[in-house]
Amino acid sequence: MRLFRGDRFAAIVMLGLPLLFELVWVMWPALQSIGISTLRWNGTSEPTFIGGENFTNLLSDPLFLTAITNNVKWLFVFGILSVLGGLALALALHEQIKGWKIYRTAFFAPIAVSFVVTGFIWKWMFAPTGVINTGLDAFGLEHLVTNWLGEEDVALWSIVVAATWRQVGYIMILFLAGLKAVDLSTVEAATVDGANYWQRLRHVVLPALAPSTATVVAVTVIDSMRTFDIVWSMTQGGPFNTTQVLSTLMWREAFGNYNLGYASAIAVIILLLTLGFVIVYLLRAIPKDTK
Amino acid sequence: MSLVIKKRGTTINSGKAAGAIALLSSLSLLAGCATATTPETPTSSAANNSGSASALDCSAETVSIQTWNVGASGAEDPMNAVAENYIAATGNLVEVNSVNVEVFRSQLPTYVSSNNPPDGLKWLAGSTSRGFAEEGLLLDVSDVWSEHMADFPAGLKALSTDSTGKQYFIPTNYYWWAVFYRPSVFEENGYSVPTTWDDFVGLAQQMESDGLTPIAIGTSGAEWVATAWFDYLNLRINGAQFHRELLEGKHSFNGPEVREVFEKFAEIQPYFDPNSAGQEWQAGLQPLYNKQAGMTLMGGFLPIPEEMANDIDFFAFPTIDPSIPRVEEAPTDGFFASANTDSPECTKEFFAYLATAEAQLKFIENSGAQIAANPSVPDDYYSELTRKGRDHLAGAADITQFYDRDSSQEFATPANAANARFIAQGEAALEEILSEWQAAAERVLAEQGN
Repeated sequence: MRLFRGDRFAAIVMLGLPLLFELVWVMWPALQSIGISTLRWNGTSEPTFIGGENFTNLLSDPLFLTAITNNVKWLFVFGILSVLGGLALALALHEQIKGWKIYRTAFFAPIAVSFVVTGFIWKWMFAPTGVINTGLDAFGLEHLVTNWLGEEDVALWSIVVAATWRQVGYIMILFLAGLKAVDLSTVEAATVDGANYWQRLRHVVLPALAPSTATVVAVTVIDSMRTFDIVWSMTQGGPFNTTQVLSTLMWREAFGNYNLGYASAIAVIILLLTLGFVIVYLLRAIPKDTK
Repeated sequence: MSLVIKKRGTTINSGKAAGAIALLSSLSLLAGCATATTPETPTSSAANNSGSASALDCSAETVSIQTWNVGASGAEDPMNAVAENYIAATGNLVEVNSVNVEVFRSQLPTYVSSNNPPDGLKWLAGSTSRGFAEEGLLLDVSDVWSEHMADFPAGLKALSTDSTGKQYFIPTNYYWWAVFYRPSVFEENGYSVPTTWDDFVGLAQQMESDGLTPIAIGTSGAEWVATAWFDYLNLRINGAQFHRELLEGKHSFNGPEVREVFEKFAEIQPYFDPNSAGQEWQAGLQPLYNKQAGMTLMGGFLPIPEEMANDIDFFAFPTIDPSIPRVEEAPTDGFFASANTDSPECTKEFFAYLATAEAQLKFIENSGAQIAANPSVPDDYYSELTRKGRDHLAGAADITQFYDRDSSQEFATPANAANARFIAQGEAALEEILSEWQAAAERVLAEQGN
């Protein structure tokens, strides 16, 4: 089965190639963005170096503040809903309740649907005369009928619901994999010692799940900060910019308004925020597991 | 791997080489002038024997045309048929590449400034194209105009001319904006077409008491639909000159003139479909199609289902101040070429064909109620509705494009949000809307260094 004669050679090839791709396609464009973020440039004319002006302009741009607030709201609500939902589903299905395979497939299925398609499906359901409103109407709940994607206080949460619907199955699978690694004998020992379900969960299962949790949190943070496709396909940041997130604002500045410097400044901020969250979290989470 | 490096390389170059672009473009302009005065000797007689107007043999030089489509319509890009006809008639080679309009929009600066650009590009007349022209990025097509387009309307020529007097744009088709309605609904309810603002508001009121949604509209993902209302109100109240100056940033969006616009806007605002912000513009038209709504302000591109082809009509946006002449919006589409093109002469040869009535007919054939830019397209090619639309524009005192095409995309996005929000929320939100709009406009102007 060995393809390579020496481990060292195998390591160089297997790590070197991904590293090369990473450098060419990820690191280099990222560095380039940092460079462009110091320019005023429309993509065609001579770029002007303006130092940190794009960043100071961002701080006084109310749209940027809306977008970053929406990202934070998104991070917490989408993060908490999808992590808790995924965990609850994983715990329930891990017990192998009747028909668990069907449930697992059903909850995991949305992940096969891209965020764009998810957005279109939910946009159709959330439409003023879509299935949600007609359903509410049919059940005598007319007072709950809402312009889901058209009301400024509701639209963002409607998108969060759609995004969570897709994400929960994914988180569930990550936790299910983690649960397989939980030592059953410790759980049994705790049961024998008289620990109830919540005590077993709190003191035995969750600590053993910590490595999965670290992955789940990192994935969720990254997904939250870079969320774009579902917002774009559902509202394009509207109505009246109330669902703008950093990435949709970046897209609009770059490809709608051709402000490539300003858009790159937003990209740099997304990068820093994501890296910040993830690095801080992993530094706190991982050493504990490896001890 | 070479592909990767090359790809990266061109992206960097498009930035770093920006300075060189001006030089290159002036070189190709020179080249254009030189060959224009010394007609090429035809090397292939086959092409010339075809009997077409083509004088230049471009059978060995493929002209690449980058166009866009709005997708989802399922209709074939008319550009393919145009190119096939041209190839068949002249033996010259043309290659068409069509992408989704959003992809096109995002790639446009790269297309025009690249060292190896598509030869011809389909785009909209107005600020973006003019900006490229003023930067020297576009090919001078003045000789196409002087040799083949002398009979085109002066307004279209002005629209295609840069500040130095050179033409850079070949218009192919345009459409009009107006208030559309279904005559059968008007007949059944005994409504008559309003010509003044008071009649218009009165009609909306009547429609509401008759159980109709007076004004159909959807602005989700298409807030520009709302801006049509602002454009027309401003044109009717403050006139074209003020409108243009406002869009250049010479007046405040928080000033007395714009407030006057919103006073009138507020009179009609209660009659808009309350779902406006939650539905897309196509969905917003459904109530009109289903006879649940009375009217809508829309461009001639609105999809007209076959069964109502004889039951749709329009009237001009009503007069508000009789002393202000009637101005209409007529967005125009067409082609320009990159100054960096390798084959300026063959591109212009193809552009001359694009200006013919034969080619322009293809563009308007399956795309709603569009009007060909070439005035020699015979009347009977147009539906009754389109002929009426053409006359509606011909009788206008002045023509504007549309908010975003008359100003810039950057200036238009805050306007779109402001107007869509006003339609959804009305007077209660007005102060916030105007101050945010003005602040956004000031930021854009500051960035542009004005």
